[in-house]
Amino acid sequence: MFTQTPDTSWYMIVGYIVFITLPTLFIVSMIWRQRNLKKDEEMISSLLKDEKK
Amino acid sequence: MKSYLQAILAIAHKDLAAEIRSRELVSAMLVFSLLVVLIFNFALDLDKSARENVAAGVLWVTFTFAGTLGLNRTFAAEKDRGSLDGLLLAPVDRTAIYFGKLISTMTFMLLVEIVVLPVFTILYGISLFNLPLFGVILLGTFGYGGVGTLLACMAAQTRTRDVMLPILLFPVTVPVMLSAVRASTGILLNAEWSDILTWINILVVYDVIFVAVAVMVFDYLIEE
Amino acid sequence: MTTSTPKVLQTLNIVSILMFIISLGLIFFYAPREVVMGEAQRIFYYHVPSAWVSFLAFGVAVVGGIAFLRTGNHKWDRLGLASVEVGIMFALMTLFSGMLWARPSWNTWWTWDPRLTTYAILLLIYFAYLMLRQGIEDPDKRARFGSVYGIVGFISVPITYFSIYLWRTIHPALFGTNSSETKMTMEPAMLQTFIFCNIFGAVLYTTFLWHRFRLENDTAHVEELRMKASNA
Repeated sequence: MFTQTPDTSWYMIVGYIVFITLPTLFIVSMIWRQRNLKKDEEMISSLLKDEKK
Repeated sequence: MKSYLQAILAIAHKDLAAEIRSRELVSAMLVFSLLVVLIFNFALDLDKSARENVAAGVLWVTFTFAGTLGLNRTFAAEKDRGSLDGLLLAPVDRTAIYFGKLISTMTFMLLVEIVVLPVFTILYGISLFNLPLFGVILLGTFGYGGVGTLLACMAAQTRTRDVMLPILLFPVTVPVMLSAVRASTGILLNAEWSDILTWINILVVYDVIFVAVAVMVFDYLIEE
Repeated sequence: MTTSTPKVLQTLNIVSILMFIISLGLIFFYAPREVVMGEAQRIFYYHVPSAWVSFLAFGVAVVGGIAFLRTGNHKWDRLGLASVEVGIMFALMTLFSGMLWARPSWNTWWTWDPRLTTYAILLLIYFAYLMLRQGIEDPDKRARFGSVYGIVGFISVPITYFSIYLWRTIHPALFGTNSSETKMTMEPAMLQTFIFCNIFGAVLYTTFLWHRFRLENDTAHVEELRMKASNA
């Protein structure tokens, strides 16, 4: 007997929200870490320059 | 070869002699185990038949937790007293340290297990005096100790120390737990031997693979 | 930072974005709605690629670990760490999407069947890997220990899977259905979409890995600078 195809859209939507959110969070985390590194590098480089003086 | 074996025995002897003098570790492991058995009694309200199904599980959880105590101490003491450096100066293959430590850890675990078994028998009313069961306990302890010694060596050198070992150890020793419990339950319930042997098979395979891996990588863990 | 983004990676970025858009188009407008499961079946197109990609990622981490132990060159360890992080991302995607798939299919969020249980353990092993590294100050020791644990962890997975599988075969699940394959009617359009998404998964992994690897190289570079500054 063929039963009606159930409406499972909610699960699909939440699923794709997960698929988009997780990589986005990862990308954001990488960018954030990159920015911090840049700041640290500048600070340390200037420290080293001051030392040399 | 002879000096290698001598080194292993010397290292094991050192730990065992220290323990005989202080008796701190084994008594701690023992009391802890008995407490765990007690807690399980309250946590799982079991009737007679349920107890038979679950006894092996409770037993192995007890051994696992107590084993963690023993494993943590194996290397922690070395680091604190700096005697690891002394061991490293010895002109012998580093893996002797691994086997020496494995022997002492296993000895402590087996001592605790020997005491827990009769207590368990009395408290749970299930006879655990069973030669095949001893065999399974030995195999399981060897597998758990084999991986445990390797990971304890790492955990002892981290900031979080004691807490780190269970986190590293438990996910990786699932096959040991599962096989040991299944084999033990099978033995206690007089199941088909072919089933029990399959589990023992897995235990043996696990033990062989991981002790081999440990021997291959142990050197990298104690470079200074 | 240390070097500008290589041309190949820039191209990969663009290809990834394009494939992402195309995949969504295929999934939502080209592939038909599946008859038995309804819309939730579309999760399948991303769920399966993320699953095998997460395994690939951990495999790459083990290769990195072994290579580091043998050569002592830290770039291998950096590759391993990068791959573990990317692998964890894909694994979390797999796990959550799997649960969202399981609920409408088998009416439960989780079952303790061999595949799922082993997968959860795998994830725990890789969290432990990260925690282990966090707890070690010396960079050389961190790399060595990470490599060793990555290898030990990865080897344990097949044995874990097999022992749980055996357990469930001898003692079939006492609760819930044995959730092996779900019946799914597969039409050509679905298969094409599926294949495309798998290729996209591989491309996306490579892109993420490369970016994370570069970030790790930069991190190592700054740590070196820090050492120099504190020694100066």
